[in-house]
Amino acid sequence: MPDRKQAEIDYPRAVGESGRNWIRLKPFASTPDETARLLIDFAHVVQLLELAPGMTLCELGCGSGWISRLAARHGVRAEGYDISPGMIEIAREQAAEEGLDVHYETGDMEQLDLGRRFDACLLYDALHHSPRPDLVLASARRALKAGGRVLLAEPNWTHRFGGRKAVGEFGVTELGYTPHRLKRSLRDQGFTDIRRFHPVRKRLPSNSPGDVALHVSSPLAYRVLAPFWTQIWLRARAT
Amino acid sequence: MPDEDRKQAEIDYPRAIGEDGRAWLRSKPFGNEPRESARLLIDFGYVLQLLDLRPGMSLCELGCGSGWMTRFAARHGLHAEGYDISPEMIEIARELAAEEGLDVHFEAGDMEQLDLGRRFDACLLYDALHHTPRAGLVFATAHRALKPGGTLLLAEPNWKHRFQGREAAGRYGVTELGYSPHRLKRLLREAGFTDIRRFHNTRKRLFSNSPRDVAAHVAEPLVYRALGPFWTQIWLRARA
Repeated sequence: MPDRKQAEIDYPRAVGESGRNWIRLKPFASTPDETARLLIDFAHVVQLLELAPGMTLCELGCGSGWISRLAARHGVRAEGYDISPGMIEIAREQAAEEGLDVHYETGDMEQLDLGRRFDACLLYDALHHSPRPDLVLASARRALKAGGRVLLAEPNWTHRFGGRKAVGEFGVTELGYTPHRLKRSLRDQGFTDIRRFHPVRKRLPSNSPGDVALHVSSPLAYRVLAPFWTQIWLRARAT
Repeated sequence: MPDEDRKQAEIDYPRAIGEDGRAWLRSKPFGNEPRESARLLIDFGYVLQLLDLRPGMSLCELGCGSGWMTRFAARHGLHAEGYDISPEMIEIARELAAEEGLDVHFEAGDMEQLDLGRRFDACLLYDALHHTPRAGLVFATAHRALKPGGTLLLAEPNWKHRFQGREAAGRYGVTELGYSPHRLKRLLREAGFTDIRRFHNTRKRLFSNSPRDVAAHVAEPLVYRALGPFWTQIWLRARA
């Protein structure tokens, strides 16, 4: 096992009790902006994958599994996979506490073969923890029914610099991929109908002059910065 | 309609909508169309931001219905209380809080008359005001509930809801009005609120690179602001 994978496995232990406490409570109990950002992102997952009760969803690199649990509350049959047994233990405990039926399993997202049985597959902030996004997307492809959809959310190329603190402290992998590279990787893995979605500011603008200016200019600013800076949402279909 | 009749219709609402309607009340905000569930979850994100809700703060929600926002707030670490005129709504809210292992106080109460004793950091009126023709009384209740310096946030559909709400009004006799932001701001000032600020809605979805989506994305802020006085969702925040 390469060291980089061992660091991901050890992460829940390395972050200490306060770190684990946040992992348990996620997405709640953080700063208002952070909790709102995560809940709004979950809402975008629901919209972009058109999640409806009864559908099947697998989440690769699920961490504490909070998205899978919210999906289960939405009536989706959700499964979550993460390389870290410590994370999966937390995910299972939380699901039991909330009385939710979610299947969590330890597994390396670069190697999983889940057998083409899911309507939807989610990679939320997962790919930048691996230098081999092609292998992860191959796992997603192997998990999806023909016509099923993958959705990924990634921080963009800038995360190479934004993630340096976590890399230094815990030895985990924090990379940053451009949308261009991720699209190419999706095509290489046999996905079609690849579509990018642009993030919005995730807050409501007031009538103050500063807010009005930000509100009106933000779509342009977000699109100009999109190739390397703003959050990437990519949706694609498995053939 | 006399006050007693319109209030009785709100009280009877959870019974009147049948088993399907109550199932939605219970699963709310989850289990609906992707667009609708997403809209509600995003709105809760805005509630967190605009009220700057942090673990340990106290929040009361007036007209809480099934109390899903109050329960979400409790999961976020708040001391949350929810009030609704319908005892059956409150029963549903209490059951769900117990199922989720949450410590939330729900109580049946008329938002036009409650006196909660100036003890809350924040007060929320989410889609509540258009169920009463007496928004001024509800603001007085909110003012009585908040500590000095506490914050009120309201979300309302805008003036056009007068027309959109007609079906529910016709079928269940419930009150479905639509207030303009102008009128709500005036009523807030009259109730003693200051530092009143409006926030503008967004489309609550992400835009792709298709030509239509690019156009919609760029035009959205201008369109939403142009329609702001009568059409798009109203968020108003004010200080007691």
